[in-house]
Order: sequence, then C-alpha cells, then structure tokens
Amino acid sequence: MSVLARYQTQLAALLRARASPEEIRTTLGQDPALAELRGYIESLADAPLKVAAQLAARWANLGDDAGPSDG
Amino acid sequence: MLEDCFREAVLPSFEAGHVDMLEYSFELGWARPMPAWAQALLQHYGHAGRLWGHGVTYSPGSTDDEGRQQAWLARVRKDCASLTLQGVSEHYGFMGAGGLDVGAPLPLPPDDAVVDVTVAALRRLGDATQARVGLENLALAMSPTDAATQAEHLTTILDAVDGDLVLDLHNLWTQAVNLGLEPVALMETYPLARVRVMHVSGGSWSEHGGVRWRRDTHDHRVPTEVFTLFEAASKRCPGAQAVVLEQLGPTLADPRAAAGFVEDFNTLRGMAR
Repeated sequence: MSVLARYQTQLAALLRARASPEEIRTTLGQDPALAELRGYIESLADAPLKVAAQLAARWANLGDDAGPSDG
Repeated sequence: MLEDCFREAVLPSFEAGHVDMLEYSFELGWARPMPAWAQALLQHYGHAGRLWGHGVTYSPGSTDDEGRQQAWLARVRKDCASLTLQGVSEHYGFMGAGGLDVGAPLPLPPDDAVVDVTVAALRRLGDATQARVGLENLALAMSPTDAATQAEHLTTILDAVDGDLVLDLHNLWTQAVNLGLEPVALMETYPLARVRVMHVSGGSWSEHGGVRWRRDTHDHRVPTEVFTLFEAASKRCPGAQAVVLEQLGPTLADPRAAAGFVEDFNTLRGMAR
C-alpha cells in the first residue's frame, strides 16, 4: 500500500470512529508507514479535524450533531 | 436544486431571461426522479451551449476507490449521453478510502502520488464525458501550509490535463478567514488563467473548542466579503465565462430567504456584466 493510500485509509477510519483530533494526530504520527508525512500530520489543526469528523459521522448516520455537508 | 420552493424562487429570473447558464450537479439528479421542468431546462441550456456539469462524490484523489469511481463514471457517462456540456468538474481532494465514506472532499497530504492519482482520475472523467474537465478548490484546509499545498497541487494537476479551475470564492474566503490569510493573496496562489467558472455562495459558522470556524454550508446569503472577492476575481480571471450562485433548495422555503437569494443573484448578475 502506498503512503497516500495508507494515509487516506487510516484517516477515514479514524474519522468514522469519531476519534478526537489528538487521537488522530497521535495514531497517524506513530504509524511508521506514514513517517514521511509526520510534519503534515503534526500540523493538522483541531477545528478542521472536528469538522471532518462531524461530516463523516453525518454520512455514516452515526449521530445527529453534524451540520450540513461542506463543499 | 429540484425543490418546489427553489423553483418558485428562481422562476421569475428564468422568465425574465436573466439566467445565462446552468450547472447540473449530477448527484442531485440521481437522488430523486428528475422533474420534467428540470429535464427541459437541462436540455434547453445544453442545446444553447450554456450547460456545465459538476460532481461532488467522484473523489478523484482517492487511491483505492476504483469500484466507487467506476460506478460514478457509469452514471455520469449515461447523463452526458443526452446532454451537451461545456465542461465537467469535480472537487480536489478525497472522500473515500478503505471502503469508508467521509461525507465531503478532504484535503490531500503533500505526497507526489496526489498528482498522479488525481490526473489519472480526471483523464477517466474526460474519457467518460468527452468534455473538458476541471477541479474546484476546497473550503476545508488543515493549516496555512495545507492551503498552500492545495493551490500547488491544483496548479500541477490542471496543467497536466489542461483543465479548468472552478474557482469557488466562498471556499476561498472560508480558508482565508479560518486560517488568518489574506483572501486575495490566497486567490493569487491559484492558476487564475484557468478559471472558466466561478462559484459564489454563503455558509455558516460553527464553534470548536472556542475556535469560530467558517463552513461552506450553502445555507445562507452571500457575505459582503465574498462579493468583494468576486470583484477582485473578475479582474484576475480573464477566461471566466460563467458564475454559479449556490444555495441549498430547502433553505429557500422561507419567503424572506427566497427573496434574499434572488437579491444576491441580481447583485451578482449586475457585477458580472
């Protein structure tokens, strides 16, 4: 699996699991397969990660606290 | 938008001949049976050379979502067989991986494979539709560095396919206000010579841990700042041919919201001419 594929798969799973921003950064940052993205992963800010998690939750019908989809 | 309240709000503008072009959002046409009035409009604007196509769920930046992408392309190919489109666009980013959907296009990391994967997906889109292809800039960015990376990726990708940039001004403003960037400076990091279509919309605010965050939710009127940005963009995008005002149909059920949408449309139309 490529680095990009690994990143996408891991992030999608974490967002769908409603992981917190800290959990997302820690899990991705400790993944040896994503070592070359470590700087980018550390820069992921809380607010956009929370928005992304809300959107993923809404899509999965996991909750009712998500807002409308963002384009 | 296919809701009756949306149709009622925009009908006078159509009857007055004020609507110069349409953009067909593919997924809206798949979500429910297409009303006859909507089919007639698509055919009319298609024959007139004033119809564009736009998708949300193709996910051109996904690395392992070929099954979903192929199914999406098959539906778009079928739509395009009966419509004449001036171009077909999607969003930069990815919204699916490992069989999981995340509900909206998400930013891509600074990895060389991003360009290769997205270029290949756009070429498949072009093959399926036989139309010019384009990408829209995102509302969501993870950091100022990410915002810069998105512009770099879009430039490289669109150069590779000779594609169009769909410049979404509310998305651009959203990134700027959320990340503390200057909107026009951010706009100038994009390949503005490739802009043929612009999107204009409103959105909403949410709060996350005390941080106020702008979102591109298409559920309110266009902010003054986005009109100002449109004025700046008009001077910098010499190839722009069309401007799309976006708002979710159900939000126009309130007559005051419907009147506001028409007012925004007329303001935009006056500025675009």
